[in-house]
Amino acid sequence: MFLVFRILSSLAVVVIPIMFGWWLFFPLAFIFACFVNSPYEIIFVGVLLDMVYYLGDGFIHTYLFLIFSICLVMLVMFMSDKIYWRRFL
Amino acid sequence: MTYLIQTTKRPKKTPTKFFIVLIVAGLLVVLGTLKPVRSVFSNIFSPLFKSGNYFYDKFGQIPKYFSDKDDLVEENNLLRSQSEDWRLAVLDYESLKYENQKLREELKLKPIDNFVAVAVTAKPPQVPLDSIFIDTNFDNNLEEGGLVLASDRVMIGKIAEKSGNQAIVKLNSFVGQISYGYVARTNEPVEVEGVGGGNLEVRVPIDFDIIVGDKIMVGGSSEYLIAVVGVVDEDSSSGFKNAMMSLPVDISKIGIVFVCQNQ
Repeated sequence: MFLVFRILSSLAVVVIPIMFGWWLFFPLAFIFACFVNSPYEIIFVGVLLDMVYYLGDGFIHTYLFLIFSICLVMLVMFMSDKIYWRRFL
Repeated sequence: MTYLIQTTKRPKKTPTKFFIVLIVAGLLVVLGTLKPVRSVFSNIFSPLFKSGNYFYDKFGQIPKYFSDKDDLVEENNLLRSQSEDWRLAVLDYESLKYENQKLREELKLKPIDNFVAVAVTAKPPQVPLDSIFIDTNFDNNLEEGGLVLASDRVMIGKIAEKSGNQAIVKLNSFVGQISYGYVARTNEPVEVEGVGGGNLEVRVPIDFDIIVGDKIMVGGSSEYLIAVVGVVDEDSSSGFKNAMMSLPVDISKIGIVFVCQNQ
């Protein structure tokens, strides 16, 4: 059951930004990282969104979503040792 | 006791999973640089972009359902009179266009560029500012760098990327996008730079003749309007003035654009 929710929520992180606004990826990825154990899926979502959008020609612009998701996952890994919070999925 | 504390200490997690994910993501990034892979993802996401665009179109119409009847009647009358004016203007334009075409043929000039009408599949805020997505499903000959027009003489940008049945248009107002044009009133050349958010900027000496409302054109085989001056800000200490400009059309209201095929 949790696995289904996890898959659905990671799909939502892809679909919602594409349909309603690219910037929604950032808050949704953050929410996903708060509720999911080891939220590695958002790295793949970041790669996908980098392929789809055009934000400029520089390295940061080309891989903005990937860089953000890697930073977020690393932050979550670091914080999980320091703070305990209950994750549901 | 010490032994118990030492043995019950939580073992430090090794982030092997994280590194595996990073390697796979790296492979995906490398694959993502290949055009066929990008095309596949572009085609998969295309219906989502279209449905999002449809949602925003319908969402924008909601306030109209709650309009006052008198306001609607007034708006209707205004639109009727405007419609008649536009009809006459279109007739004038068509006759001038025909005359222009005949003259070009007689003078053996290069024919007017061939344009293809394409639908806009996504625009801001659905996609990043200063870019729009267009549907290239019906014409796959469109190439990167092709001019994108909002109407016959209004150029809004160029095709930056094309993958699958979708192309990304980089608008003239995209940050760092430089266009070389001239002021229509004085024919003085200017270098126009996109500053984002639908705005463009030009920095010229303080004695340069540029005023609010001036139109900036770009030349080539044909001449196109790219911006209209909105604000002129003089800085006497530096000896320069900045002219802030906007795109000539409201991007959020565009549904169809025209792409130049032969440049």
